[in-house]
Amino acid sequence: MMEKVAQPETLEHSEKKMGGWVKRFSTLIGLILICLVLTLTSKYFLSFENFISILLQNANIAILAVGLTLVILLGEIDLSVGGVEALGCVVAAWMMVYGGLGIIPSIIIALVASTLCGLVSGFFVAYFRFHSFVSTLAMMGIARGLALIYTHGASIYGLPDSFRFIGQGSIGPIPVPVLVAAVVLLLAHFLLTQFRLGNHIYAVGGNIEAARLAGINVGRVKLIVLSISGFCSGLAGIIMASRLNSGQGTIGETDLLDAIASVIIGGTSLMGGVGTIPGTILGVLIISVIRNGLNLLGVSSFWQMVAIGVIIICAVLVDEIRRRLQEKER
Amino acid sequence: MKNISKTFGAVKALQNVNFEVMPAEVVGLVGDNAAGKSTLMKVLSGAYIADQGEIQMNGKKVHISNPVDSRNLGIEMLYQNFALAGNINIYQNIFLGRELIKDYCLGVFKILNKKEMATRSVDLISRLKIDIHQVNKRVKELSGGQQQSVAIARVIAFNAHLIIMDEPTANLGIKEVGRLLDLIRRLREQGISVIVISHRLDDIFSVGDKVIVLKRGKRVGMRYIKETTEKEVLRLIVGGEEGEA
Repeated sequence: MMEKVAQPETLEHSEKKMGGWVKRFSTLIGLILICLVLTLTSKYFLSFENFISILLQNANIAILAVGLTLVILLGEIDLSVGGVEALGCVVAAWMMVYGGLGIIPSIIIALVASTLCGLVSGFFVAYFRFHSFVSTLAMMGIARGLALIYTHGASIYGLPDSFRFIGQGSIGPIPVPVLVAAVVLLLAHFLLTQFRLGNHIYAVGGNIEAARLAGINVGRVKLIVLSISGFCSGLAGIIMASRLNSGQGTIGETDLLDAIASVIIGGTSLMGGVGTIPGTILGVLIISVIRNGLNLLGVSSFWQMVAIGVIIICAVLVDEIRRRLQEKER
Repeated sequence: MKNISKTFGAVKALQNVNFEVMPAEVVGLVGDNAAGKSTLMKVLSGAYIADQGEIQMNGKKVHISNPVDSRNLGIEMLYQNFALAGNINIYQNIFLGRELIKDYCLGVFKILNKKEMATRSVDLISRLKIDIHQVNKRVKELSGGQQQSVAIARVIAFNAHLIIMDEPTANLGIKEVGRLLDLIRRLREQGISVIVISHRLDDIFSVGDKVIVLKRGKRVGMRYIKETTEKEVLRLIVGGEEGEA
């Protein structure tokens, strides 16, 4: 075995190390700075209740962001997450209220339906070479449309009381949706770092031709990942159904914006191949904290949408500058 | 390979090409640009499927419809652009598509065996005498020569019978070329056949046993290195030869 050669610790080297450290933890530093500013500007921000409230309100965004992280790592996009979230919400509610099914079968059917949405999008991407922008844009319309058809544009009420536990219950001080989101994030992190599929997702996103020549079934990877994204959207929808105690075809209209913003701010490159789940967690926290802070400061939700849009542009800009600098360094 | 033909739209990239390589033989595949050299080898490596013709190994007909089929037959290819994913690390690239796994919970969970992949990669890299000290470094952080070394490590990692190298010396300095040619000789000594696609005839004459010449998608000649000269091979590349198919 070859021996590791130690690098001499020169001033230039330690500066580089410092720069690398700052680059690596820039998102975390950003989050801390935002929290500091909000602590100074709002007396309600720094409290355990507010912290738990931030996590609870954004658990569904975190779950959507997991699916999107995997999709964006492939160099693809999933615009249907909000629509499929609404469909998952409505299907679960409809099955319980009108279908006469129990909670578990209704949840399973909702998850199957939403996974199928992802599967159909993925099928066209993988085997008909559709751009994911097109196939998931179409699925966004189809899923949202179906959700509104199911509900006739109204809400479905009368869900069983015990169903509320998923969205409104808590284990100890931690709300159940937050625990569900934590489990999903953890599983996705393991998938990306410990499983063959994770390796293949990074390879396809990094160099699709190299992945193909290495014998990876690129189409199958895309199909699986878009299906996972559909599953995550359905799960987020079920949590929303429980939190709202109703099935609503209009939920999640701005969730796509928040989820994409979280993923990009978390350091996942839109070019594919670069990104992590811990990064996405930080991205979700940043978006959540900003929204919470803007709420506490009395900024209207319309201006919040503008702010999130601006943040997306800034995040992509930073990613692009970072990429160009790295290319220059080489 | 017998009577291999391949077209891309109106372009006839290969027309009834025959190609043969014996065990422990180094074959140079030469020709001008667009002669069909890379296309022929991509058919053998499963990157392309031939429109016509057949491939035999040890006298038996084999079907190669994708890179996995080719690898399962012990054929590996070193691509001119290295075909590496720059965003993942060295050992992930070496084992890409053939990751080593560990079974957990009676085989229900198949977890990547990163430690074993890293150890084997270090071993491979040290055998190649490559100047890389960390196998968890991302490939895009390596120099061109180092990237090629990773690609070479990948093709020799899995006990191949036949290794195809597409322009392996094109991006190398004099020292690295010498090292690569030594590696080709060592592979031959181990009984591995090597096909070298190259524009540099002196490299082919340095390590090759025979040379096959393509011109505009057709085979125009074959010569044993001991019985020919660079001048004659050049004449074949430029002018072709009657009687070959």
